[in-house]
Amino acid sequence: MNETERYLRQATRGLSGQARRDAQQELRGAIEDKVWRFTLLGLPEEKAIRAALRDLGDPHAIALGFTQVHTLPKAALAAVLATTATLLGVQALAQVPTVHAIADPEYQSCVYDEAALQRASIEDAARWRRQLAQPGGRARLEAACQATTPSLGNTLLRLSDLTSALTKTGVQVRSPERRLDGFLYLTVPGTPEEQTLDLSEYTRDIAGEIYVQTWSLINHLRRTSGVSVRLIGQVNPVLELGKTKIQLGTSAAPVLATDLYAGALSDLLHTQPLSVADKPLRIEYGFDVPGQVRSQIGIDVPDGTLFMVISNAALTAPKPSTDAVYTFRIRVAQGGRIATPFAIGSLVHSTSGLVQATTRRQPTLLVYRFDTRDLRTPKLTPVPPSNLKLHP
Amino acid sequence: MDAQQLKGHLDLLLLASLEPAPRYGGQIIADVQAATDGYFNLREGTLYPALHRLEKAGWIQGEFQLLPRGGSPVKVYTLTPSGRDELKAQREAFERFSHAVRGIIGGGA
Repeated sequence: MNETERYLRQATRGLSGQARRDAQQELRGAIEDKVWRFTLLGLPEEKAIRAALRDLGDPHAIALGFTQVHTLPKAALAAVLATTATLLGVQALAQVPTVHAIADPEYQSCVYDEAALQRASIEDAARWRRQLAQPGGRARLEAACQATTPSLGNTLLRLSDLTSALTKTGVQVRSPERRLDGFLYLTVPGTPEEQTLDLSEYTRDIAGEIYVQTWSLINHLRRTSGVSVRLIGQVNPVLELGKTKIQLGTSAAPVLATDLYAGALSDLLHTQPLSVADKPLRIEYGFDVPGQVRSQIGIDVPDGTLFMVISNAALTAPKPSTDAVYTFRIRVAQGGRIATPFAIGSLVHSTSGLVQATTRRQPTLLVYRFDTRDLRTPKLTPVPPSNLKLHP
Repeated sequence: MDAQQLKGHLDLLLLASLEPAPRYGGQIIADVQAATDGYFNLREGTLYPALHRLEKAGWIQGEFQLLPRGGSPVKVYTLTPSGRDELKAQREAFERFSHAVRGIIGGGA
């Protein structure tokens, strides 16, 4: 990936679908415009690109700005659309209704068959063909893809399922008269007020069926819900909104609770960053390569206890890239252990300890217990290293 | 220009910069800088999210257009009719504000 594309990805992190593609296109145009101006001044192209990106500033600052704009409730739009509306129905059933999921076709499947090559841009396809032609090229390409593909955005929920599941549990669902896919009004039992659920930026039309991103649903509920938001179970979790329950995903296309927790924590760490001496730490979700375990941490907790593990691996690498940040992963304790993809030098119990270790270039982990009883206010409690045992 | 000071007037500045003609991000930055002798130095990190916010509010509308020099399209923003109303309202509010401040601190009207 070249510098510009990396910049575009970082600057639009947090957006998805059409909103992300548009923002990337807009910034690409802006970068090229700057590069063009710099080359007119006599800079060689490579230097011009670097100067343009420097001029544009911190991509994470742009990403934060975009995320705030695109994920805040659209109060103005809501007011316009609220004038007339249709009642979709009220009905309560005891059973937990299921919302079907599918894998998001927009994310790379990491399968490089002819169909995938046809869908890709001409440049990508040409590059992939060259790599596939080399011995062992396919395996390398797939591994590289898996290392950067977020499982976070990997599932989509069928919108019609979601509205009918909510309706079945007694939630009143209204959609605006001027239909906007993914824009709903909910009245959850136990709350007096109707709330807006605006997933319109996160919808996808696939073969005439509308889908919404699973993690964006959780994050919107987190920000707007008048009742507690909770997930029960790890695979195809039950989403509890106050007392109402719906199940997300099926065995055919499972939804993983850890992905949704990671989305919620990503959101939390952007809006209320952890900091050291008032300086916010940049902590991004780190993508997992399936099956990669480099160390185990022993801890005396029941199976299923959730943790957030922050690593400085990218910052303490022999040659850290300029965009290196702290990364976090969600881990579930199994058999008194937490598996990590890191070779660990030490464990610390505070963000300042982590920053100090980074200064000493020592690979270090900071482990938080993650209380998910109400995702609107998730609680993170640092675990003292004395309660942890390293199994390299 | 202090970022906090700019923040309160950013919408007004952006709407006003689109009043004469549609513009894309790079042009807006250059225009604002030139018109204020460099007093306002807009940064992209502020500009693009702000443009998206104004677009969401329905005050401006963006459209990708190709430039004569070729390359990737740029997103050109146009003031909408409701954007013109908003600009008028914000401009009047600013003038009332600045008139009131002058009343206290003195100096030319």
